Amino acid sequence: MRPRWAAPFAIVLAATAVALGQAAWNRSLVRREIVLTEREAPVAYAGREETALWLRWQYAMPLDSGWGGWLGAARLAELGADTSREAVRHERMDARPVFAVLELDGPVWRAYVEQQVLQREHELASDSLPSGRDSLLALFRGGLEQGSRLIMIDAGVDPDALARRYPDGSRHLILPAVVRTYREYHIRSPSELVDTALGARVDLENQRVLVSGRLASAFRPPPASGYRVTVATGRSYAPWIVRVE
Amino acid sequence: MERAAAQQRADRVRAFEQELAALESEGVFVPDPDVRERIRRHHEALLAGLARHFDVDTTARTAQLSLGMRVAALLGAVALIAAVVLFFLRIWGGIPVAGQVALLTAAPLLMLAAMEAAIRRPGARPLAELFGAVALGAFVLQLAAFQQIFALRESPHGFLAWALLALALGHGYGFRGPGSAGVALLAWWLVLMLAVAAGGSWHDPLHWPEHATVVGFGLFALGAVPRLQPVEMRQNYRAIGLVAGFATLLLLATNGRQNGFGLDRRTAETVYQLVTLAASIAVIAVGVRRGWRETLVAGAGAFLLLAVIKSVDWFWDWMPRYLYFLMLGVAALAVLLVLRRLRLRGRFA
Repeated sequence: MRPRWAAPFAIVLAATAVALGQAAWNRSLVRREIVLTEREAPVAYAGREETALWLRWQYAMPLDSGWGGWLGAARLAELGADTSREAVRHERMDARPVFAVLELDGPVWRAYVEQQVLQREHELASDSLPSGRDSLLALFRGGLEQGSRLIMIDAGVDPDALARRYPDGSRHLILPAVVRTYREYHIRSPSELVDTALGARVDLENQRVLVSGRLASAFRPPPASGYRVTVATGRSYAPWIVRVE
Repeated sequence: MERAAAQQRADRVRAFEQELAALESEGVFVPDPDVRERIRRHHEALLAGLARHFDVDTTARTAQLSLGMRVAALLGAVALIAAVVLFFLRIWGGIPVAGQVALLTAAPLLMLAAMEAAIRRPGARPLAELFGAVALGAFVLQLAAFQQIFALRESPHGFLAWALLALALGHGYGFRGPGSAGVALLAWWLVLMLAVAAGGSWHDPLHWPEHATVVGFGLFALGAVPRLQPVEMRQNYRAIGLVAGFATLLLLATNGRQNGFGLDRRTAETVYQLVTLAASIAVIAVGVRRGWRETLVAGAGAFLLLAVIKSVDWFWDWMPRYLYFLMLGVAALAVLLVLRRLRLRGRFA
């Protein structure tokens, strides 16, 4: 008869082997490498009692993504979300694993900056003097241009299809994500509800990436003049840091 | 023989000795001294054997001390799990990935080894259960930390791995704490898998709350299988299964909009109220018939909760408050009278 201690030990060892096997399989092939700066991957220190060092993904979402833009009903249906009127009526939340495409310093990000500046200009048009408005706008534009240049531009269930659609690995980062749908209220006035529609949001599954061992020492103390990190993604599109400069 | 049966035998021996002493002192029955001595020696040897093989309590004093040890073990397990997690968070930033992996893997294995060493020592069963619980906590930390270190895709199967370890401790060693955790984790994993099988996503498992009802009553049925050992685990399956099943039924009975069949709110609430009512009565009947206390408590709890919820819906607005609470009090008296009759019939004496 098998001793009773065998099963607990076997379960721990088997789970360890599976998890490490997944990690090794992912890192056995570097699909893409992208170089980011402290603007796109700022340091996110953990709590006072935690010594781990993380880099946080800092990215923007196009303003129209959930309103008939790229994350409209047709794309949501492709992602497997329930887009029926019935689902919207019953407030049925949905959440599904997908892959998101983040573009670095591309046309979508530049359009996003212009769109934000235009919107700000419109907001300032009525309540400030032209001279003050220009300096405020310049300040606003400067803030956007010095911020992260990463922007989410697409999502799909098949990462290889996304890789074929966005082949430039130095500009497009593909990461595991989750799409969540929710009921969105379109209102004309506080007392008048016009319609309900399906809203959606795509979040990266891991909002940060761990920096361990030798690579972490580059951040202690934090570099004053900024840094560049090379992020690789492997077979399963899981990311890891390969270099810090 | 399993541990629960051994404890029952030890309790019977203790009760027999006490009753025999009482009969002797009352002068009702004085056994032949030779027979009395033979019985005493036999019981001594029997209790020593049971204590050695099953770590049972052989006197009222050891039973009290055992209870104290179990409480201390529970608190100790919670504190030690917190200590392990916080210690790891405190040091992991300073060590390379290989060191993190080695540390995370060694922790549950060392705790399991400590558990196995403790269980072989007489009277150290609660200590062994403590090590088992800490091993489970360290295993949860291990897989969660691996997911973070290697940015692995989130997976529902971590719950299965944790459930399997906890169930191995529950079935293999009869540890109630890890065993209960194992049943709850298994239930959750089954709910996630049903969500995926139904075309949904495990990220949104309560899209169809009915899945939790099916899983809950399925686990209850599993807890009725006599071949499932030990008896403590059968109780765990029944109790946790019924809590899961009735919790979702009551959720649907009060908020029908959540139903997975697309029924309108009012229809769904009526249907699920009737289902909860029928299920709770059936479960109470099974609990009474089989003498399963946890089953009876769960069924009666669901019935009473449904009664309170529905009575608030029906009477709260048009009845004076004192009358409403008087009505609840009278209902409780009625339940007491019914239970008293059952007790007098000897089914629960």
